[in-house]
Amino acid sequence: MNIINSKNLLTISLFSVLFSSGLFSQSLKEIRITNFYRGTELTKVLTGLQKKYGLKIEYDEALLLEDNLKFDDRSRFGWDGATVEEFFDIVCDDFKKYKYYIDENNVVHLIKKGAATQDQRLSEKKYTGKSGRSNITVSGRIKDKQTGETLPFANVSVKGTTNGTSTSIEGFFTLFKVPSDISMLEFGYMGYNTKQLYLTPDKDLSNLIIYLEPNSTALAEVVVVEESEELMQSTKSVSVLKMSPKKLAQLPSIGEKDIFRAFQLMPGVSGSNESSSGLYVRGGTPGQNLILYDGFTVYHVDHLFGMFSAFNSNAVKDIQLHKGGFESAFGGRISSVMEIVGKDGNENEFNIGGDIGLLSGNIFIETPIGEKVTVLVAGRRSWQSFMYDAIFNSFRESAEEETTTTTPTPPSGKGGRGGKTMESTTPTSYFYDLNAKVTYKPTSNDIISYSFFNGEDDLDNSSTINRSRNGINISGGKTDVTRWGNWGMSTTWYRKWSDTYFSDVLVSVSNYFSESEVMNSRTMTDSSGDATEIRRGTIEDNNLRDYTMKMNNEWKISENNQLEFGLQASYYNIDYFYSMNDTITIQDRNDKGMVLSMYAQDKIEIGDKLSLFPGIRTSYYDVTDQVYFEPRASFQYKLNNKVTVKGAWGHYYQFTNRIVRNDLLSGSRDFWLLSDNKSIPVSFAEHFIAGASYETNNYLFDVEAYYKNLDGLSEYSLQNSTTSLSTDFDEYFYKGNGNAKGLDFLVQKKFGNYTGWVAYTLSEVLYDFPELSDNEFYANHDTTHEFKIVNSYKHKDWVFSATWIYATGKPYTEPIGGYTITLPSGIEQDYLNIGEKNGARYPNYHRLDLSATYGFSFGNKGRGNINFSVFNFYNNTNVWYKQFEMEEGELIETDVNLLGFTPSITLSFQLK
Amino acid sequence: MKINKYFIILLFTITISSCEKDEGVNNTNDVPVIESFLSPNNEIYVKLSKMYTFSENDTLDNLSINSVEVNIVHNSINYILTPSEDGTGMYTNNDEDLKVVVGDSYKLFFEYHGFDVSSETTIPSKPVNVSSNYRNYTVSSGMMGGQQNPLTISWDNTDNSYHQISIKYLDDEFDPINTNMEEEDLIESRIVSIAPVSNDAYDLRVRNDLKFYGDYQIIVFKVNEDYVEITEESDDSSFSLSEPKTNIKNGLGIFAGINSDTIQVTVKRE
Repeated sequence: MNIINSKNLLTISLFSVLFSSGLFSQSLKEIRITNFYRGTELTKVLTGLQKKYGLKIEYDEALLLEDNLKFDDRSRFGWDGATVEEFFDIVCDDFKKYKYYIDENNVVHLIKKGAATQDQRLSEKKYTGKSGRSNITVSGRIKDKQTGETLPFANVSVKGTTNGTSTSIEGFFTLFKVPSDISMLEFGYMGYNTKQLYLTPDKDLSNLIIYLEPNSTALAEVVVVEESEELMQSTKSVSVLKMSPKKLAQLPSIGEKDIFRAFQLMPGVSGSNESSSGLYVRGGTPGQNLILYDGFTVYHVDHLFGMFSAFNSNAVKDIQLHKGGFESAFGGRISSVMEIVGKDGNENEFNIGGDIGLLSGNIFIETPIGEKVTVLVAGRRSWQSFMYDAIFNSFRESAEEETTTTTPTPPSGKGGRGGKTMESTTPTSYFYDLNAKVTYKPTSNDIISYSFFNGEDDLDNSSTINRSRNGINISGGKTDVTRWGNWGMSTTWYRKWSDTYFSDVLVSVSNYFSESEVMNSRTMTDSSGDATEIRRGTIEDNNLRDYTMKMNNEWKISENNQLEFGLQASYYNIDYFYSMNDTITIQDRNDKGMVLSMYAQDKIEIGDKLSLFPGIRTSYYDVTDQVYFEPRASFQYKLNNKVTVKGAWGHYYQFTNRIVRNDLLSGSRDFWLLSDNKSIPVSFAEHFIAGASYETNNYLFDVEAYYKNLDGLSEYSLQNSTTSLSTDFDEYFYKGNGNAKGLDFLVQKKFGNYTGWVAYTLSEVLYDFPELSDNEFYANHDTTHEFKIVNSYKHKDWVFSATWIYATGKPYTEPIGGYTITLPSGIEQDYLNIGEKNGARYPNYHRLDLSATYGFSFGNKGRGNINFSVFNFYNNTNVWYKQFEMEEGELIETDVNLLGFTPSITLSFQLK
Repeated sequence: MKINKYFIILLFTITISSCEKDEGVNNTNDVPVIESFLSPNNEIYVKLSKMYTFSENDTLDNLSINSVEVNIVHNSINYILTPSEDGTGMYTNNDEDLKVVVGDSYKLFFEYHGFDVSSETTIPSKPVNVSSNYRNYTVSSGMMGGQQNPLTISWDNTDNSYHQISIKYLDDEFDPINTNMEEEDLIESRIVSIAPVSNDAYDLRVRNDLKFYGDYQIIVFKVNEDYVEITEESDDSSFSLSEPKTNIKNGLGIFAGINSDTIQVTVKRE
């Protein structure tokens, strides 16, 4: 493995030649190049120039050799020869893929177009002179070498010390206490090759631009040493996980590489909620997670009944998940925060790419417009394939069963309310999402970006009737349409006021919508023209609008102290309407509310070992007319270079609530409402986290324990309600509290051809809803043990991955008895009586997924990969839920199972 | 640091210790189940039984509850029902003074294993002007159910009370409209009951509701809200299973007043 890498290193690592000779005293302008180089390889020409004229030329020898560039007729030089600039103008005219620039030290840089224009590439050799300054501050930006994208949350450190920092969301960094101007710095970002470089006294250390090279853009590409093959990174911060979107393609998938599914493989995030791509983080529910996409909150986060997340990984640059104990900058949710940063778009050249799978197609385009603007557009849409149908039907069949039971049916279950139409219906259903981002950099210190996201699921199972006979015309049919999704956009102005002060201002709007109409309508018109219309069914409409303004400031007061503070104002307008048969209005709410928040947090370093992050967030919520204080704090203590002890604590409030409908199995199963402290309380959580990590060059061992107090939880359950006119449907909101506790273990192998991790979570979530149960009960998503193993092995152009998930069963409420009542009509109706709430457990869940990904490239014409995946390889029967029936006093249980063995194939391609 | 260490130990202890499951599941079938519908058209009865239990140790033999003093209170007078002699848990009224009167309230109570079990109901009025648009309803040959003018049962309903329709096929021999019906379906389809509605008409459709040629008895019940709530079918999946609805205090089942009117229709071939 090392041999391969060393060889690779030789092949493509930068070949830089710095030649000093006495001739160099000659000024660049005075040089006249008169030699003839006809038919000579360009590399030899350049070597010749260096020798003869003492020119400093920096270039990538391997690239030039690979492109087999030969010098043509140079007779145009004339007798006076050409200046260096004229010479290289002609070179770049001939070799169109190349360009050059001359830096302030008169070094000529010959680079391929597409590489950075202002590459202030520093010398990668140690500067041998004397250092000029000591204890200095270095600042700059970190970018992707190929696309010019800035890299958020990348690491910068002084090699061999614990002194380090990370870049801001726009890629800026400021590193204090660098010992001298000839120190070695190290720059790292997940999925990119780590770069080390020596500072030199002559460089502008306040404006370094560091280009990192992705190591996975094409799997076929050979890679450099120090590669980080990590797919996942458990960062040094407490309970923060990072994922490399570039690496997602290597994981087994169900037809779509998926951000959320990948996070479900990590410790503390449940991996056995197969019918939900939402994240159950440390005993929290998906509605308690703050999902921020380019700064705005996204409320609808999945597709196809929860099988896929709504975020297109081709449009995503960086994802971080804060599993708990998160900082004061984030508010409004009580479980976790997922921060998704969208790609800005290629700064250097046009690029197009996409994926085609059995389930959907996906295309993205990115391009610079002029020097200062970049644009990225990415879209994805599903198509009706056998695979889509297989997944769709696995949910739909159950859904249909469920339809017959939730609409009021006769006690016998025989007969039907509106009767079934004899017309055949073909359900049409699809999902799509669209991401767009425009980034404008008017100056090197200002970034203005506009980001747009729209994701939607549509489901249409309607049928129509229009027939006429004997003078009677019958028209109408069944409307069964569900449409749900989210659109949102944000505009952000990010400014670097100085090396130590950054601000950003964000204005955003986000709209979650969920409309469902299941209605049988029939209009009968007789010969005299009299029409009668009958309508039966339900209409549900939920619409949430979130208008938010935020301002964040980051002030690096000193090397030991970094203050962050900001303001946030959010206005929510939520409608929820639910009616039956056009006559019974179950819910008709229009909630409006405003949350005004401010926060301040301080990162204090005490000595080299202890870091403290105290913070406070204060929110005023106008609906309750109360002020909510959320003090939070975390710390890290480095026992030595390898062992870190960490902890966090915090108070969290949530004002918008996602209410899950347990009586629905498919379609849009949730709706959002605003807390009113009457039927829906303001939710609260207190987190306690303590842990330790041990990290070597190759391995990471991490353990965290957590305990969460939960209060003001809501459940809405119409299953206990009836459809009678006098029902007060607000009574079916239940209030409760609970607690969640657990331990997360992680062992990760970070480098090499074989990487992966083992994650184990021991946890417990207890709820106490006095109206639902006399005793405390396990929450629906409680999983005692969860074990996950993720393996990835790289061999030549292939990456083989295997993931295995084992989780003990989730709880459910079991029927313990039953009885039969003979109704006056003579029909016998069975009733089941239940045992302890969530007192029984489903069988344990386990599943093996496999994948093989082959990377290829067409020289400079593009590159891509093909992924073969198998979901649930050994076809284990995992129980989704149980259906009960009583017959002759015996209980009959029917298991409804989750997805079995499902193979899939995805082809990805991109130009650059 | 010390605090931190203890904190981890504490968390760990809590986590481990609380993983033990509480074994005290209340698996008793000692809750009385009541079945009693009071109608001016019928004798007063109360049927008492225990639940079936799904644990393997319980036998299904005799679930009837027989030796209880069942009381009905009407107009502040207490009447004691008489248990049947055959041990079926049926209690009937032998007192001529106890009658089911429209608009009156009735209270049921008895003591069972130290608990006071009780319930109360009111007798609804008789459905008014129950009629059908056809006395003899002819099924057009070759017509699908949705295409034919339905057999509409209507009644007066100025106050949007709940009415439930039950259709009983009267002929001894089944004469199915759809000749592909299975034997089992034939028997099960003899009585079709429609969920209670609060409007003043209901359309019966060929094949869905009317499955045979021949005579039908159509009963329109007027019911109260308790009845609607308790008899509404619930979703019996593990996602949403909940306690059965009942209007019995310290018991299960139903005690409800009903009233009804009956008409007859005949479904004929074209």
